[in-house]
Amino acid sequence: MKKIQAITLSAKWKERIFLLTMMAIPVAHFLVFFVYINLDTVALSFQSLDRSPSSSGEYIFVGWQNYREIFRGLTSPYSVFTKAIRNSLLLFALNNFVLLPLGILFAYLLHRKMPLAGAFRVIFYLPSIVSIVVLTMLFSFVFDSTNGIINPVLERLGLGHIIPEDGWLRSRDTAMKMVLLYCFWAGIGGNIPLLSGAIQRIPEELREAGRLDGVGFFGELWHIVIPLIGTTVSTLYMFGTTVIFTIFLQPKLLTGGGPDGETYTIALYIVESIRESGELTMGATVGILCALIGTPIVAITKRLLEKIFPTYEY
Amino acid sequence: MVKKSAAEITILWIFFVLFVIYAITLLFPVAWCLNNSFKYQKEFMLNTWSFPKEFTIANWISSFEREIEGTNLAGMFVNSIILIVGCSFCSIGSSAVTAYCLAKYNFRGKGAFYSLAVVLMMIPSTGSTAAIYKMFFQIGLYDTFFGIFIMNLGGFGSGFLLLYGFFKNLPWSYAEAGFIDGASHFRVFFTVMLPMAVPGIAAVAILTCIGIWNDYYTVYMYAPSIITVAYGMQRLVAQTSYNANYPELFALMLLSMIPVIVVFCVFQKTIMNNTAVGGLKG
Repeated sequence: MKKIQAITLSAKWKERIFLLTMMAIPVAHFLVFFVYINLDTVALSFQSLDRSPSSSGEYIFVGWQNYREIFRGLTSPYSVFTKAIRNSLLLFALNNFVLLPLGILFAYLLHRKMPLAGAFRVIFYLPSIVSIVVLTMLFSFVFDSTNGIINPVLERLGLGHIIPEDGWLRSRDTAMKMVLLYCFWAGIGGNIPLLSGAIQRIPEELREAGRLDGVGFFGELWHIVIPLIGTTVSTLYMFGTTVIFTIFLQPKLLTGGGPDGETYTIALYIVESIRESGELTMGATVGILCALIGTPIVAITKRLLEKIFPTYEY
Repeated sequence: MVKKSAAEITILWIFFVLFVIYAITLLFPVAWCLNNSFKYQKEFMLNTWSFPKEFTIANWISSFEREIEGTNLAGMFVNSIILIVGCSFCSIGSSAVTAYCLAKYNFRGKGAFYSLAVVLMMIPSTGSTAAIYKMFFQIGLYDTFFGIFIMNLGGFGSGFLLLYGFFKNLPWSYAEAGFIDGASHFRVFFTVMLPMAVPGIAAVAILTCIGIWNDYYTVYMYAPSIITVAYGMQRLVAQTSYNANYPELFALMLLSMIPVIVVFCVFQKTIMNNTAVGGLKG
């Protein structure tokens, strides 16, 4: 009797040792790169680099100074930070209210026996697998003032007067529109594989039943397909919401945030203040504000979406 | 199948035309660059539209000699490949181990780990860049391959969620057979369960590798002297002036795209299906 107990105990320990060894690295990584890093981000937001001549680059406690500086920036309508918030919200709106609905529509159309559907699916997905560096390059070539593709076409059409003098990406009026246009052009296909997959999982009987009830082409999309792919749509919507705080590569590569900060986004502000100006503490402060504002927004969005798109079992 | 109505056919054709136009806007610029990459710079400056009168592959050859801080294109490819191998090994290894433990074993706090993974994906993490940057400087990981590998050791990313679903569906009876034969937990994982998960891991790996190949930001931020292909391209573009050798730049750009396009064509089915199925379920 005693012997059996000893064996089971050691089996349990064997399992424990296995789990502890296996999980050691992921858990350690989490503790360093999430717990410690976030605590240090909070700490950094209350610090500032000691710029006095006697210091050796240490960070000193400065209280709410960084936060005050940002709020001062917020109240002046021409500050870079105000523009950054406006642009981030614009990109969020583009993502969730233009690209996502278009993705649903496209995925649905491709599913409805569109000719060449397979080819379209692959071509539309290409921007998602080609490097953003190359894609933005390509886009800039297209709109280049000296050798580009678009300008000669516009001139031929007699629309030469709408070409901005400083170039599409360098003029204040068009720069942000170009960033939005780029995100639109490169972003349409990104969600299609996920949405197509969700549409394919809908049982044919359900759609057949709808058709027998006389639901039309768009009726089927609205009354049957969208409710049934609700979980996928809400997931994509949620990731689209985080765009407010994470998107920066597109403006960085297309315009570098210029001209005059016209195309800055919140995340680009963080990245540039860290990498280009070495202002770690300002980057951290904006990061903390983003987390404080962003996490509740995402959480509330998730709640709302669960109400709008209840999960159907099928 | 119910027969399509006339209205439906009209709608489909209207969108078919729109789709063709959109596809052309995606493909035409690439074709335009390809065409111009075979011209001498002089001809390109005069005419960007016609086919090359004097066909040359000089740009393709000279593009191999372009250097960024002493790293030429071959060097950039090597750097990218080292990063791909190291980072995907770290990130997939860590995700696979975490996913396996959480999917197949019961222990306290397991549920918390899973929700943690889901929550972590939704918290905007741009803000932590500053603290990571500072830490890397302090412990000497800044500008090293090793630092970037370590950064990729996280076990709770999107790879975790995909592999978690995959391991969940693998039958446990194979493992039990292994235990009866006296194999240890480690042995069962490495020789029985992990090989069975290869299809799932491969799908995750392809996407991870493409992501690392294209990622210029991590290197730009944490290891700017490791010039990878993506980062090198960005530096080259930043240096380009209006009288630069554009045809050579086109050749470089296309060269940097080739590996991704090849991988995408070969594994197209796996990638598309995996992104479809792998979508977060619940």
